[in-house]
Amino acid sequence: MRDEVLLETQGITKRFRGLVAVDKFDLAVRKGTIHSLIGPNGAGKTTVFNVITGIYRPEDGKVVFQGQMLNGLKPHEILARGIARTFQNPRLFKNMTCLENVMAGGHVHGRAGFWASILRLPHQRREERAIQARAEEWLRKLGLWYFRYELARNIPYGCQKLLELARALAAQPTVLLLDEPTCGLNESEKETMMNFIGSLPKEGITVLLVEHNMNVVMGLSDLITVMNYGRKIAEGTPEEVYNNPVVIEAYLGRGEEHAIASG
Amino acid sequence: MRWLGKRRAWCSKKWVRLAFLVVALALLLSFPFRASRYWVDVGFYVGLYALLGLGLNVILGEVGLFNLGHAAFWALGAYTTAILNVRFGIPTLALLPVSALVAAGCAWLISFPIIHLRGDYLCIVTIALGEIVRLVLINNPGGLTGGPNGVVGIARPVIAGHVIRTPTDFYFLVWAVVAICALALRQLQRSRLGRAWNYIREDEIAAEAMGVDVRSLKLLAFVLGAAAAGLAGNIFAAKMRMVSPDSFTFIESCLMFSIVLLGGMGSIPGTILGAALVVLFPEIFRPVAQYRLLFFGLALAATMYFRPGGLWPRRRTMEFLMGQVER
Amino acid sequence: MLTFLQQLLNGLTISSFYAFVALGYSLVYAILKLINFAHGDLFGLGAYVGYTVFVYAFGVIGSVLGLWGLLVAGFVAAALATAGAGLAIERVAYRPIYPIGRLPAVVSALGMSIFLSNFLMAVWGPRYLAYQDAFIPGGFWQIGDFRIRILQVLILLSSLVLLGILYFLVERTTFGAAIRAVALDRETAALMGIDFLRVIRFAFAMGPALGAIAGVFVGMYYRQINFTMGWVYGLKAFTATIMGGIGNIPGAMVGGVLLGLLEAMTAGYISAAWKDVFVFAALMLMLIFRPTGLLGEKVAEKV
Repeated sequence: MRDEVLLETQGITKRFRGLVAVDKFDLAVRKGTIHSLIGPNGAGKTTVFNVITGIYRPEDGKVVFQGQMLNGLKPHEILARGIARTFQNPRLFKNMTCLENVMAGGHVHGRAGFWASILRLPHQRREERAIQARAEEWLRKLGLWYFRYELARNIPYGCQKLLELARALAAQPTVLLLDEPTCGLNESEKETMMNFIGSLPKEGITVLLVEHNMNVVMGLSDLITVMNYGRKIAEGTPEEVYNNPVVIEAYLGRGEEHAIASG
Repeated sequence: MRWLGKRRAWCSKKWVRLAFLVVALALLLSFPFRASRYWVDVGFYVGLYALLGLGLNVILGEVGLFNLGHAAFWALGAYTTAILNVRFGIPTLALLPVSALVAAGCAWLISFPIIHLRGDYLCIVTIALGEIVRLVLINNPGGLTGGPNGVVGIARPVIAGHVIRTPTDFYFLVWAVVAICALALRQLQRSRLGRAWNYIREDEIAAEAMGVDVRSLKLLAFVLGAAAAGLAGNIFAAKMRMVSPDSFTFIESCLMFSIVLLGGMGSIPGTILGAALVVLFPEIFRPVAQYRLLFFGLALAATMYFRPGGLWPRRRTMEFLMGQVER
Repeated sequence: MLTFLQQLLNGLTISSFYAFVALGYSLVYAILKLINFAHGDLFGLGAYVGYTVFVYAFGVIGSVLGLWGLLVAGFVAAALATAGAGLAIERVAYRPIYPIGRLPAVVSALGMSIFLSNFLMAVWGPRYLAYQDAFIPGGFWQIGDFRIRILQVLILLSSLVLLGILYFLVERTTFGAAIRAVALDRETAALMGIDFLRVIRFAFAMGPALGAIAGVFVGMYYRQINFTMGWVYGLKAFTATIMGGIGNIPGAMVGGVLLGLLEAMTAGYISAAWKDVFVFAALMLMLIFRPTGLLGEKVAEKV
């Protein structure tokens, strides 16, 4: 159902020794949508991601996913529940091959334990083959098949971003948190990325997106939340947000309306 | 045999590797019958250090945890065997798994508070740990450890009526254990767990974000490494028939560390090669005996310069070096 | 009370030794993020050079400069020799390897440590060498039952003076600002025109030099030296570095004081045999509960 809220933050506050990075922030991501989180640099967007994925513990507030509270869970437990993420600067496993990187996505759903691995029991072997197969599938889907045996550190930057995406997708997430996926890409790479992200809801993956590129944001989003200084300052559909004076001011300062007039 | 690297080098052909393995095995098995007693002994020590190195390889090579106190686990295994055998009469061979368990148990206990520490800090804590264990052994609390003189009179292990006594016996014993451990570790390497260990080594935060239970896996690595060291301790105690704190110094931990790095982090054949080098080095330099360690120190530095990936690196490390050596 | 004061004095003396060596570790770590395992052995080298000067140059220098001149010459020679050795080691064993990675650099440092201590053994022999009484400032003041050795006073004074100078240098001068900048962010510091090499050379000359002075003092204080002393002192001084917060220069001094006091008190009140265990246990507890040290290290990783 389109209106069902899948992931939400309720009043989360995150402080770093006196600096309030996120201030009583509410966010509701609906199932099957692409939800964008935008705001000037330092607004606290990545911090929100880090709170949702368990890297930071909020001083206050709750993170709720599919009706269950995520507070206090460790990042790997949160991934197991179905929330995957990418990082602003790709955090790949640099000295491992692309294939091995994407296979990381298969780790969390694997069941084979210590003894099964040493003795190479049949169910472990089956699981290994399945992990590899799924990883190969995602590599193909994102056009990285050529690089599968290449070390992650050696592939071009644009491909590294795609690789990180593949890795996150291989974990079969329900919600995907993307932190500036088009940052650093050239125009054609941006378009590829954009189209790919746009196709995700059809595959059953809800997307929460942090982005600076307005074309991407406007083109993809069903809903946009705008942050500044750790607080939500606006929320709505792309048209509503685009013309919102509060948003314009946050990005450009006062007296700059004329720059938007042409849009 | 599946794999995940480029099919470039000649050693990548499956039959070549198999042939190589067969040849190595043949050499290993026939060696004691063609060499002098002295050299069989040397062969024993290569096996012993290989076992120690393999344990540390899991901790340092696979997961990337700086452990400079591995000798402490070795000591724990050795002393467990010594004390339980000499004072309580438990047969040495039966103590083989016991020593491993004790060492592993201690590792588990001690890892809890330190496992989250960052690289360099962990390094220092392990150094401190190694020293604490050694000093406690010297100080002989409760008369248990025999002080600086250690514990003497450990009985030889007996397998099915045959007493393991000669250098050849011990040679086969240690290498049998090495073979089993190497095989087990290799299977782990190629499994989900092994990859997860490597993910932790590469980027802990990303690994955690990808569902790897970093804490548990680090603990597992420590426990496994310690267990291997415990096994080595039992075999060492049985061979020497006595244990004393002098055998388990920081230098030993350094040597083990060097074995893993010389051979190539995460590389099982590399670790064995590293053990061979470390044991044979003083032998080669026997004519200039007092300067051996001098050259060894230089050799360490030199190896890091010319072969930072180790002398027999894991395949992908090899590719990394053949590519670019930039940070 | 008396025992306490006596132990306090002993503790402070030992603290000075640790502080000197700890500074060297801290400086190098702050700048290169490398634990220079060879540092302790450089301290040992200093002790040996001092010994050599005293024993062999006694005739030559002694007649020209007198006894005190000889002593000063010994210190200077030790400091210069170790500074030179430190620079050489940096140039040969660290600089080429450092760009490759931290782990190879650590192994290289270990290698250098093994090399140095065995070098000392090779040149001067494995036995303990004695600092003869003729070269040790003797005498003491007696206040009731409380005894202060003149040597201890000398040690404490020198450490205050030298450490004070170093503190001033690092915190108050422009060059000191350069050092701190490099410690915080090497690349940006270089971009801002700071001569990174100069800072490195300073760390690898100054650190060992201070260690050397401590080495000569240790020789005088304990009357004998041995090629393994570097390692023992190095490890403990490293503990002091951690206690104060690695990479933190005032911290190294604080750590040194703490460690010396801890050691003396344990030796005096509990048992000399267990003192090292206490020291290392304190180190571990420190790292577990307050890993940034008492004065703190600036650590942060942006996710």
